[in-house]
Amino acid sequence: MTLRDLLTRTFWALSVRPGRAILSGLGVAVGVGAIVGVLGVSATIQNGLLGQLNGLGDVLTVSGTSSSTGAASLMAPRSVAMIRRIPTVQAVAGTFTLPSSVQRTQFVPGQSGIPIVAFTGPIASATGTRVIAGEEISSRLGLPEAMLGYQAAQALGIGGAQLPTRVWVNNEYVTVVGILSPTPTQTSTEFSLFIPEAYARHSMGYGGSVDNISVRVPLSYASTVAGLLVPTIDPSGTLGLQVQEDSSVLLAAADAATAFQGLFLALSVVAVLVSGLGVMNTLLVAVVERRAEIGIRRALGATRAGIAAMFVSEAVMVALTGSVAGILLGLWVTIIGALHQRVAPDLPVPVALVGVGIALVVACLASLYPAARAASLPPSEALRMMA
Amino acid sequence: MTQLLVEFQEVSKIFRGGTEVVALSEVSFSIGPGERVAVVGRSGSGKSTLLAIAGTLERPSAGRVFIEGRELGHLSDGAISRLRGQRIGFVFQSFNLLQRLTALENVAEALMYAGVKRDQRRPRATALLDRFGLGSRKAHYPHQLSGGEQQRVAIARALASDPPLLIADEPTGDLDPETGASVVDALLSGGGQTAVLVATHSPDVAARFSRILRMDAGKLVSDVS
Repeated sequence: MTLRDLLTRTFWALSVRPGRAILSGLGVAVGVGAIVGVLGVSATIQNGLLGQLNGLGDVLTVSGTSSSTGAASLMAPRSVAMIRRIPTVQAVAGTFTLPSSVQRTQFVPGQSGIPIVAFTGPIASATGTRVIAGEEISSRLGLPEAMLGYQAAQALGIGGAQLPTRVWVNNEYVTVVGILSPTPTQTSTEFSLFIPEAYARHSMGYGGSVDNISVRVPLSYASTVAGLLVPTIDPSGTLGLQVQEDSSVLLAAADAATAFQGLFLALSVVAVLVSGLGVMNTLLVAVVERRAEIGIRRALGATRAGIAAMFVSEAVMVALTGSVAGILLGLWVTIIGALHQRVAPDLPVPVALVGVGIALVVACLASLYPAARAASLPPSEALRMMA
Repeated sequence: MTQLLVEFQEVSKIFRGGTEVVALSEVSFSIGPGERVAVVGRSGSGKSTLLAIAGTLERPSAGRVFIEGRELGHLSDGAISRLRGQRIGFVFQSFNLLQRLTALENVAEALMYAGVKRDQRRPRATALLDRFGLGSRKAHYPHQLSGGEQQRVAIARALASDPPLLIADEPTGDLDPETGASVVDALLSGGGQTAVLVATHSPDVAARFSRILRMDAGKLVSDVS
């Protein structure tokens, strides 16, 4: 009996009772589909959140609060340059929030609440943003020009079409020439008006210290660099500085979004195990029904192993088709989930293969007992059933 | 001396389970190649058990059984299965065809177990069915065939591997005498090389065999050639 002979006979046997084969295959499909779906949807959500960092790298933010005054800790002007010398750092910018805030015009009374922030260094790339309208300005610029964060621009009713436009800053008009993109974690960058350090120094009496430093690094070096920042700037630790990683904020969000993944996964595995019981039950019934056939085949020269192989092969066939259907089901769920979240689906292909593997192992184990019973039927007894 | 085909040495078979039933009690005999032997006796005398043991479908409780000089007790499941597939053909009272397969496929299935290559099975099965006058019945399923036709398919299947031993347990038991006679013709059509061991109630059938073993209450009471 060759493998091809065995498979042909398996198809015969399954086609005799297609409904039964389909139902036990469906059990496997639901279990495998659940595994693939749960992992696929979780991976897609995580991917969607982390994908916002991928092109840009991770953004680290250093800031602190003085323990004596409760005000923001001030870091020396040279801190930015010191951090720039740390290997793998891609961009650094320091900012200082000035005491006054922006007004749309000099005639609107009161303050908008949008802070005026002096910046040093390439603020867009260091904060993981880019200029989405207008142009970028250098922090060395001594002219009254500014860039707006994304939310600040919306609050002031300034879009790309209005650029350049003037806003009232500290008793003077400043021209807004660029608008920055949203940030992945909606940091304060989005709510600020950025003016160049050089301009702030000569017209607003800015001294050059910074209260916030943004550092962009590749994702893989983020935690290493994060550990170096405070010792570099403040070796004595008196400033009470802290580092926030955008990636860990995003990971925390991803963790929250996939908090029940483990539970769902465990339930899916249970579903696959239960489907194994279904396969076993179906085969046990088949062994009883096919006693006569087993006896005839034994009389014709089938070995015990040959009889057992027929039943194992049936279980494997059911598990294989069932798990392929389950994978399609799981991928479909993942794609639906991804469309819903408006992110690229992360199709868990390795997981799908593992799912097939689990289903095959479960089906093989489930078929062992029925196969052993079929193989141990004494041929004469099996034949007596015919009479 | 030519090798014996089947040899029983003081073979007993006891079925346990509730009350003990002694189906065979210290039976000794042998069959040579090409011999035609009928086993007769009342129901329950042990005929079927004797055939089942001779055909390796049942193991003896005591005593030794040799097929072509090899003791069954020393053979693995694989070796015994090969014996069944290549050296022994079976015919049963209730035909025992595989119901889901056609006449042709039933015969081809036996050829598969006999180790015949896939592409030779159908031609050989066709030739066998033609030989037993079933050429027009190849594509029929067992339930579409008469009893006599089913039994001839079963005989074609049993003779598919050209075995030296053909065992038939009441092959005409479910058939009318005329059909039964044609089935016995088929059984004996194997030529001189195939030994035939048949159990029967019918004196007409027994009369066609050259040697008669008479069983009574599990004992072999006479052996007449």
